[in-house]
Amino acid sequence: MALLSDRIALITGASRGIGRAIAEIFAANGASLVLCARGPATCEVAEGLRAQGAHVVGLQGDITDELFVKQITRAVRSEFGRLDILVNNAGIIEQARLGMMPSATMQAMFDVNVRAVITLTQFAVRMMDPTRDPSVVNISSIAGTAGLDGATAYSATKGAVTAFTRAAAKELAPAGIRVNAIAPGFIETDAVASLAPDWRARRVLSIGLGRPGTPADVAGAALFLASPLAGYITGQVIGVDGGMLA
Amino acid sequence: MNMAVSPENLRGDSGDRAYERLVGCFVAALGTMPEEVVPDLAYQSIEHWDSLGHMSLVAVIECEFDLVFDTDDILEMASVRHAVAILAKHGVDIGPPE
Repeated sequence: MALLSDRIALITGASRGIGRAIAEIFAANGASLVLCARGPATCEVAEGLRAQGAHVVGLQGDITDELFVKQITRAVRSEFGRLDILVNNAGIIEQARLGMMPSATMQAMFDVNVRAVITLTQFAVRMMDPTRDPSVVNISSIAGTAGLDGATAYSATKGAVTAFTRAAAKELAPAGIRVNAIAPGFIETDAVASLAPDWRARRVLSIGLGRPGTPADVAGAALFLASPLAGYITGQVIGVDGGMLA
Repeated sequence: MNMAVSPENLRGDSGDRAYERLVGCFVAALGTMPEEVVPDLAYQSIEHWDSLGHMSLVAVIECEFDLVFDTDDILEMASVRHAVAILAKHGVDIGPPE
């Protein structure tokens, strides 16, 4: 059963990892997609999905730049005329203990992980039709719900995403727009590949199911939340963490 | 709803025509009567022009005039008069409302 047939989805950070897995499972379930990310790989992902028969537009740019957000809006409108699903996936993680976090790094994380999420949501909801069960899926983190030592600023940004999700769900419910979040635990992606090996090892030991998650594990939850199966679910944060203790 | 009319196309049009289209946006988004759409009609002055109505209104105006507003534009669109000024800023020759 194609859960997202005749649905239009915008996915940020779609060039790799969790974003790419979400793009793939959405396309496999019949969605048309607008994908964006900073690197040229976005266009390659889009091309690959088009080759499989999906209707996909790839855009390369910086989502912290409002001009790029406006470019995305124009592309969605001109290509599809509306938007049904927004997946705010793009994010950056920089590890540093509290006293060792450079101000510029902290600012960059808040710009991408928080400010861009809010800005893109502002633009996206204007293209949503309340009668089509529109929804927003934010990719938060177990860092935002439980806190991770050695990643205090990152945890703060993801906590902000969780709070934004709950507040926006209340504000947008009268417009028929559902807003939910996923809080992944330790997921094997390029973004965490560079993290300190001892820190990684400790995290994996704390996972109840005994293995790190995969991007596909998170993508499955995103598919559920964006689909009609979750039509009465809003303001929720679903952990996809294999029972990780954080 | 999107008539894909560019600001350039509108310059040869009469301001009255563009103003009628703006009025149509208010009617479509807020469910007002055309005669209620006067320059001083303001945000939150009628039941349906609340924050959600504002979101719909902005979307309809953007589609009608093929524009994407800045966030500041949306915050400043506090009345019909302001909407006219913001459209003019984006190159829509709409003329001052009577």
